[in-house]
Amino acid sequence: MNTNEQLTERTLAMGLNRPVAVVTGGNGSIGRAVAELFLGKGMRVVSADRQPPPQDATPSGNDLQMHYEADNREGAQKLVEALPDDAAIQHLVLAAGIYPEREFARISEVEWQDCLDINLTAVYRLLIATLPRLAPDASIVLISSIAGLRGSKGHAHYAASKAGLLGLMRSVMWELGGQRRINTVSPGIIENRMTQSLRDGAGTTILTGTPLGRYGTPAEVAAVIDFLCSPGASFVHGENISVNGGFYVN
Amino acid sequence: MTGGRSGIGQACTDALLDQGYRVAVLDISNDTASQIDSDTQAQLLNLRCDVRDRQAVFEAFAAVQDQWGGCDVLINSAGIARPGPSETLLPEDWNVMVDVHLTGAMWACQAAFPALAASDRAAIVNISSVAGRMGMPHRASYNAVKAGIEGLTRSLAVEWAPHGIRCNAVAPGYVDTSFTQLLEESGQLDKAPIVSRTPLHRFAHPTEIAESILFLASSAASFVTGHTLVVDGGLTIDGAWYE
Repeated sequence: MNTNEQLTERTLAMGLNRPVAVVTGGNGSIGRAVAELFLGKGMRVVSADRQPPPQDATPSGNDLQMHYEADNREGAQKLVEALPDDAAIQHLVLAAGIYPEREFARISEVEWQDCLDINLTAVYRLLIATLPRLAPDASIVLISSIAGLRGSKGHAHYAASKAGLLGLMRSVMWELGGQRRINTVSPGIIENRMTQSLRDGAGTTILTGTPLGRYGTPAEVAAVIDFLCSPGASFVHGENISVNGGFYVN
Repeated sequence: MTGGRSGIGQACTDALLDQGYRVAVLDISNDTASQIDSDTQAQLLNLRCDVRDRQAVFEAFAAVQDQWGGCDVLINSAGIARPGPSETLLPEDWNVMVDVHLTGAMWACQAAFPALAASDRAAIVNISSVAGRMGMPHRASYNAVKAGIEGLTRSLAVEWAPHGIRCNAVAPGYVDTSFTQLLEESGQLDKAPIVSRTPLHRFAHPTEIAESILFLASSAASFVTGHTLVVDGGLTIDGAWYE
């Protein structure tokens, strides 16, 4: 019996035989693009977000919408309890996050705590809560940022939370067991609502500094996440993939 | 593909053919200067080429251009090994490592440039190694050329992005190939300590490296450039270093 057969047998024995994908921030630009890719492959997707789906969204039986508040201490447990009983989590994509802007000297302790809580501690809570429900070959993807690698003036709390995700990923990878994998993607400047004010203020500089000469799209980040969740990435574990058009190495 | 006739390179050649690519393999172990493989309906062009020879590399790319009229993806996987203690390393052993791994990749990039610049989906994927990021005794030349490959990758990513060419690298960890099996059988490689340091607790299958190479070559990686994708089952993170 090969490894995959052993994994399948164990999963069936656990009674978790219907794989689902869980995407937090599932109604944000990157989360939605990921959910759409998974839905397109016939997966059931639990889309957890504090925002309701867009009104023009096409309802689908596989698109399970769930209200989720990342800064709620019980949010992660409620999410797991609401999963279908027999569902093993095959893909876990944690894309909920905030992008506050404030010069460092003016960041209040409350703002600092809120950012760390939503961007980092919520990920800790979700990992703890979902561990018993992960498929034996589950793939977890966290969303870090170029700010987590390089720092970001005016976003110290955000950069600290995103760098924290890298440390979390590189530590928890030893304790997942089986062939479960965890990786991060670090987007550069993606054309979405979150980066609107940054692009309005510094667009020319950013585009000049990006070798590919353009912003990325949420779909391009989603495609990398989709690869990390695919069997093709079965030996990719503890890796951070930069998706920034070359900005980071320029 | 350079070096597409063994190990990771062969797995990559097979995966490219599976995905419908036409593949030209530039490999020193090919028999003839130019040969179409009839078994694969003319999808595979085998070219004998020593990547150290700049003129031979340019001639090989000219043959690809003649055969198929272009080139969209370049994969530099030609490589050799010359392990040994650094204090007595012979100049010829150092030079051949630099010439094959680093200089050979550079000539292939140069030779491919006009075709890649003309393509609307151009991508270069170089093969680094976890050895490009770790210190390994008796592997100074290998460590150095693989770190060099990552530098070349970043440089070309920035310089050739305006030409629409993406350039990335894959850094494999330990892979089950006929070469590593041979080393194990001859007592030169002890798998156990490596496996225990790898969070996924195994070696990779060559196809797992090929899949990452194909991902970086594909449109799924259209905003990824200058990146070295580590495919090592977690080996280089070494978060259990204190144990």
